[in-house]
Amino acid sequence: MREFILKLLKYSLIAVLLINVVAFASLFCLRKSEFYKPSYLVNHFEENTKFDYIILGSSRGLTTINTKQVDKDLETRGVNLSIDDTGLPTHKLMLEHFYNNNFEAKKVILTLDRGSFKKGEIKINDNDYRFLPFITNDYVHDYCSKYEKGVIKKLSYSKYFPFLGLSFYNAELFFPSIITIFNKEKRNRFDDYGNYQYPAGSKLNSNNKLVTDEVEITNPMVIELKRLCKKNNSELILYIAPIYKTKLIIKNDIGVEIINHANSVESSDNFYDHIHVNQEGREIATKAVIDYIK
Amino acid sequence: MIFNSIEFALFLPLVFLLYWFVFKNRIQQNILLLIASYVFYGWWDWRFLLLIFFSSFLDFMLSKKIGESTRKSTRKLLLVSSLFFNLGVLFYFKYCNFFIDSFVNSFTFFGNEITSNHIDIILPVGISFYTFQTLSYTIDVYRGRLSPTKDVISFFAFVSFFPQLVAGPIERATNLLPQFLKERNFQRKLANSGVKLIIWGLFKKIVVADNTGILVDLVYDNFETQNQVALILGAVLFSFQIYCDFSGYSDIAIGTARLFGFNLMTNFSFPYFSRDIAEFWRRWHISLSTWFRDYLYIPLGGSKEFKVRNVFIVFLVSGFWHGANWTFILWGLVHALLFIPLFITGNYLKNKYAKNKELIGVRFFASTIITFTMVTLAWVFFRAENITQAFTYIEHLFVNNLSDNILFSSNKYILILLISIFSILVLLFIEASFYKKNKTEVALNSKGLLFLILMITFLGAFKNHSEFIYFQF
Repeated sequence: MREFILKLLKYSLIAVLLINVVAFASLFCLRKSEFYKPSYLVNHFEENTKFDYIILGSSRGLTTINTKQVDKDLETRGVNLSIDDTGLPTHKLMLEHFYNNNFEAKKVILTLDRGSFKKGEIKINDNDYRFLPFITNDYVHDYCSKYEKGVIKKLSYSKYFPFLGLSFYNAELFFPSIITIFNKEKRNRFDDYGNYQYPAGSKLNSNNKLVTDEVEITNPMVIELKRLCKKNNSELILYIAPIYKTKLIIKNDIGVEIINHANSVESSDNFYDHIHVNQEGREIATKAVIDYIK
Repeated sequence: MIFNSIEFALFLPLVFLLYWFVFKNRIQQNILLLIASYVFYGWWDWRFLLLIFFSSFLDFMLSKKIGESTRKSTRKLLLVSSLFFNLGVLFYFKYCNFFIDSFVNSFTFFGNEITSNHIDIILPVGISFYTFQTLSYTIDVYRGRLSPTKDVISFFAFVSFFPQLVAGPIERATNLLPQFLKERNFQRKLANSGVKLIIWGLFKKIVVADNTGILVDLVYDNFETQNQVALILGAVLFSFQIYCDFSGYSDIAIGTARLFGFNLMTNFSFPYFSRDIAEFWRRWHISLSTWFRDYLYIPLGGSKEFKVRNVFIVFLVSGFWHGANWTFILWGLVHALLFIPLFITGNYLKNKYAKNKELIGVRFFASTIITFTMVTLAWVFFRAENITQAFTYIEHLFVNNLSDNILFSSNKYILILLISIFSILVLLFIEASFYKKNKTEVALNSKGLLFLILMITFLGAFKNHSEFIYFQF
């Protein structure tokens, strides 16, 4: 019995060590790559880079404003740091990641989705694993510990046992890490500027009537973001991206500038779906933002 | 509680340590196993415990009475009572709604309208497995092959033994019960082989079955728009999903039992290396097919009279045992039609005594591929939601002008497909090496096990894992 248990413990230890070494190497490769936005920010730009603006948000932030066009027309320097399928907590984490890596920005343009106008349930978002290569950084670990639920907190415990997060998200992390060994500059569906666009020619097949909604932004996390920006000498601006046939009248009591472009793109030909613009819609929305800033 | 869960990863070492270090005599160990098994089963729904308790109590009492009685008619009456209650419970929970639906549909077919209400029942996990296990005890006592036990704790622990409770192997009382009645000493060799089987089973389930399962669901959910390549891949992948899901569970069950000093019967023995359907059934779900042989086929007359009819009945009942759906019955029928020609010509014994290593070659390869193809086509009935879907799927397999292939529609699915293909090749390579040595199970050395652990960790479908398919039966 004693021999059996000792042998079992010995091989368990070897197995845990081995898989942790592989997992650590895998996360290291991702950390040194440009595959996901957190690594892209750190490895694509020089430390202490001063941006005129950055864009935060989820898929609507990722696909609406073309920062390449903005920079060309306004002679500015910006980057799109939006990550699809995320919410305000992840945007805040991205901003902390930005400041903690010694970057600066004059303006932080936060693309706010309707679901984030009011306080909602705060939980780990679908694509938060993209920060896992930086789990040893306190702000990432604190975020995961705070919001992750369950007996085994896969992401937060990855600080000590990297295989936990890596095995759960193996398709999303382990295999991309192998790709990055051969191509460090490979990116996951975003361009040199951090933008992604829905395919040209994809159109929304809808003929709704215009709806006008009166809404209020009360989410306390927006205030937290405002404070974080102020602390780092940035100005927070809220951007409401186009929504098909929707006009929003926004009550603004939080003292943050709002670019309300919910109704800036009208034709269904310029939408990919009800809340995402296609390539043509993106050009119109970007022009509207440029005109606003001018 | 399922084997591939955090709860079980904590539960198993705890029970193991208590079993060998705290409760050292047989009676204490049996009480511990009984409590552990009830905790394990009650984890799904504590109400299920009432049913398994009732079933165990009934068979314990009836068998005791059968053992005490000398009158044949009384003994028969007691046996019929056990069959009536056990199969009645199984019928109520598993088949009641099926018969109501079939009854209503047949009347509607003849032009009459009948309204019916479904009975709102939750199917208790593993009910078909433990019902057959308790039945085997009562029938064996009736036949005089086993003396009824007076040890109620051992009997209850035998019925609810957690490693094999919910998905088998379906143990015979003649094999498992005596193991509860004798002192058990820790056997290192047995425990070592148990750990090896557990890791092998986890690889089959988490890497092969759960990855292929993602793709199979995609293909079957969209089969009407898919091209032939997608449908062929969907069918072949399901063959490996069902095999690795079910045999993976059996391997973990057998391995876990060995940690407690118990030997369970082999349930799968490399079935996809079978050279004909008869051999397939000697290698697939052995505990069920031998159960039907001993408790259905032989009582029906076996090979002595109406043998073709008997085989036919066994296959139909076997299909129906799997689930309350015509698809399962049709699956059984297809296998009966494939098996009976071999049976009539006497060719079903041809491959029985052949040594595996003698038959590696072109002939072996060809007959294996043909058998696998037949089994794969039959699995379409097993996996389909209904008979229409099954026939449409098979029709589209052969006649199809569509161009969509959902498996190649995104990088994610292509990646999962590559993982599936790679893991299936690893599975076949390892199984072939043990098959050639005439082994009945895979037992890798430490390096092989570490390789499997790496595969489980980095290729396992943890995020999209699914329940064991056979739990629903």
